[in-house]
Amino acid sequence: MAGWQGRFERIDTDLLALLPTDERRPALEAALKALAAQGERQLALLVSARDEAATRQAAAGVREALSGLGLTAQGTAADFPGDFYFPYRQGLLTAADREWLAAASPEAATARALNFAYALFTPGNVPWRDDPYGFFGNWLQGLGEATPLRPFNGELMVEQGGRRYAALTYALPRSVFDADFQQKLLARLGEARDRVHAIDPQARFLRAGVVLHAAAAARQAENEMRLIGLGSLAGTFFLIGLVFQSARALKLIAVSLVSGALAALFAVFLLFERVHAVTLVFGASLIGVAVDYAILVFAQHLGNEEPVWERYRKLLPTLGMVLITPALAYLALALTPFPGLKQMAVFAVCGIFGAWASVVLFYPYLLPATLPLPGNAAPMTRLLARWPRWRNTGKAWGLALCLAAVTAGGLVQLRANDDIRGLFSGDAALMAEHRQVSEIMRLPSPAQMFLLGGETPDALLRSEEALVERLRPFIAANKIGGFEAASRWLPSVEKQRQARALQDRLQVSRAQVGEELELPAGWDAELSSGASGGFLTADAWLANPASAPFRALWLGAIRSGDGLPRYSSMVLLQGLADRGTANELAGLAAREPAIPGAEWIDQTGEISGLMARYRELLTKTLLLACLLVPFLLYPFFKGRVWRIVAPVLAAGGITLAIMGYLSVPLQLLSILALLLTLGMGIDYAIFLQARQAHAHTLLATTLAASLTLLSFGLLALSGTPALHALGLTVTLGVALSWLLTPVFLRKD
Amino acid sequence: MKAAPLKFSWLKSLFAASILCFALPLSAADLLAEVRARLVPAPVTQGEFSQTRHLVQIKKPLVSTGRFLVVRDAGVIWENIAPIAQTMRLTKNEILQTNDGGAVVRLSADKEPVVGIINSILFGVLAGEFETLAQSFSYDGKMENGRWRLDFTPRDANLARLIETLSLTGTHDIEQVEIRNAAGDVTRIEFRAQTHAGEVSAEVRKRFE
Repeated sequence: MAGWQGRFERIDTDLLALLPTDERRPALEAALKALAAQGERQLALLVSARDEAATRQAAAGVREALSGLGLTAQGTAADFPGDFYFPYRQGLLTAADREWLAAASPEAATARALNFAYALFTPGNVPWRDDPYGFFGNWLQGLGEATPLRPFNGELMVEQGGRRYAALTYALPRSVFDADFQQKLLARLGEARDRVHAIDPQARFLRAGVVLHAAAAARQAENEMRLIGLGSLAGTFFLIGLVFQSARALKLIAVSLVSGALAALFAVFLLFERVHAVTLVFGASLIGVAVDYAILVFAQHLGNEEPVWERYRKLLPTLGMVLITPALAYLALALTPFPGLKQMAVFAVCGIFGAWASVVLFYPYLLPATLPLPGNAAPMTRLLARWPRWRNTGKAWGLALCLAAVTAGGLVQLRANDDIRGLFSGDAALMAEHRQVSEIMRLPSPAQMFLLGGETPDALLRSEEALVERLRPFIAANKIGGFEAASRWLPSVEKQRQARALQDRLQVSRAQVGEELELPAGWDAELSSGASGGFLTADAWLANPASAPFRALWLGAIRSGDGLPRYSSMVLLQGLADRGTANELAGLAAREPAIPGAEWIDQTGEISGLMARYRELLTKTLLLACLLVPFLLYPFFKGRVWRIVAPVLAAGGITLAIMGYLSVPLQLLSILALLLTLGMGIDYAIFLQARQAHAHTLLATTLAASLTLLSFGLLALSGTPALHALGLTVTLGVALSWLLTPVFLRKD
Repeated sequence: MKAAPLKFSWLKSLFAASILCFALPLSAADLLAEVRARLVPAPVTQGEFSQTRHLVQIKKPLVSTGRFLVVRDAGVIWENIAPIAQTMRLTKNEILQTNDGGAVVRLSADKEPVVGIINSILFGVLAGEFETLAQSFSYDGKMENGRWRLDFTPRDANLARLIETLSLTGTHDIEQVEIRNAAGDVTRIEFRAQTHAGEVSAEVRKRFE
């Protein structure tokens, strides 16, 4: 099973691929794609050793260790963007200078220009004469707000908490999900770390990149597939060999499993572009379920001299019934809009069907005429005889009431948690490292942002500017660290016109400055708006390398539903940490007067909301199933129906109560797990009730339940919270139904 | 005027030759240590300065005078007195320019990391911390009869846009600094009446708070 990972190029380890996409909003899709494309292939490394020289040496070591992998170094030795913006400078003002200009007297402005002329140090890097008031210099300084990285002696440096880090950013040449490349890169990164530590054992070496999470997820998935797959297989063959003591039985089990695996993989590869690693991990746990049919058939053959076909004719209705119940439960997974869960549903249903089909189609030809009666069934029969039975006595009712009270106590403590991070979480240490890098490099949040739209580029920029005005109080209050918006570097024409008009008010001051410094008349000719050329436009900006760091924010023209192009952009936020602020930001664009085309996107929140909705929907489905099952089973079992349903319902209730006592939150996957438990629990009860207390059936049921428990128990060890929750709930539920079912068997 | 560049370069060659003949054959690193050893090692240095700026395309040299105060481990106060009054204060975390009207420019290292770099350079120049300068600049110089001259050139192209060359001359104190920037402006600063103190007074400390 482990070999799949390497062989199939289409195996996906991107957890985000498990999340729903929103087809109705092309602009949002484009935004998310752009973000992903920009972020996915990025690798950011930070190196910091005891002093600057050591840091440089360490950075050089890292660079050397990573050479030859085809990585493209990013963000080095960028051209000075001032040259590009220079001709447009009269239209470019920072918010602070805009305010200052609106209020300043000519004398104050003159003093400012003279200050800069005489100062030892002036911001910006243009001759004093071209920017006598330092407005352009200030505006250019704002580039520093976009990223804290500074080129310093040929190395990009960033400072935080008194430590100086060398920042190395790379674009990967291959998909981050390319398993071979992942392994190579990880090996080289290990080498890089060794080199850094050889220079300074106390040095810091921090890494961030989707590829690292992908590699960790792939490794985790591979390990888990191996553990669950091999564990279940070994357990299955051992127990079946022990109980049936027949080599033929083992071969048949293999036929059944191969048939199920082939059917599942074929369907999934047919229906989905890529197969997710989590699906395979989940799939490995189905081994315990898939062998149930074979076990049922074997149990019927024990010491039975009837012809095989005759036995099959009798068995078919039961076989049909036990296929339908778990399949229906798994199908509930497909009801959700989560592609990952849909894929698991397809895998499960097809896998189970494949195993079932092999039992129905091939087994009649392959089965031996009879299987020897196992000598080990006798203890089971004795155990069953001694198993506590339900009697309609006061003592039994009292005990039941006590149990009900304890269960109720757990149920009231049950809490729901639909946070997406509770479903699919990455490697915790890697996440912490990623967060640290994001914080130092001030990387924006990829999950929360504003999406803006406009009929024209300029309308879009005006919306952005209106939004940015509303964001300023959040920065002032330290609720967010900053923002990234294209309009910061590409003001709308209206804004540029306003800036030029404000600077025209400096005519008097410019004359004063000229007099003071004995400048020739007309020294300021280039500074008047009449002399300014055209306005800075989106086309010119996008065409120049100066826009490169911010170009990804500009999504460009996207055709909407009515076929008209609509311009879109994103405004990203830095340092957004708490949900309270996110909630405040959610209402920001809609506040009166509403900003046209602006929309708050909160992927984490939206998906969590979706999960909550589907958890509620599936809870209703579960309750409905609990109500319907007795009616569906009534024609077959008549008055005994309660004996089938009661243990399963009790098991479900107690499982939930245990989760409540253990503070395990209720989420989408636990409800799905309860649906599975219902399906399987009813199966066992049907087996047992159909062939009333038959020792062999009991043996088969026990065997089937043990194997299911083994598979799902192993699944509970998974590091993926979703699979862990599923495994844990099913293990508890199945164990309880298996223990409770004999209690409700009719006393013969 | 047309022949001037030629004449100048001829003069420069001669000048260079004379350095080769008479200057002590010191390696650059030795020179730096030598100069450092000559400087008065005091925590506090203060004095007067006169600064002349030749700005591109502006004929009138801009001459200003004032006082300065360098306190090691604390910062620099650069006080322009005439013709206009303004003060620049450098501390580890910010560059603050003020005049009568209050703050004109405030650059904090938290928001603008380049502040740290500018500070380390200006500090290196004004406090004679050449080792700091040597991290970002390559250097050359000479020493003659107790007078020295050090020429620094940025290693980094981006820094070179701010400062093209930086020259310091002096004896036991730094006496003259010349800064040329890429835009073509030249700033020459001469220091006078320098005094040193071993102790940092509470009053001085307060100015950096």
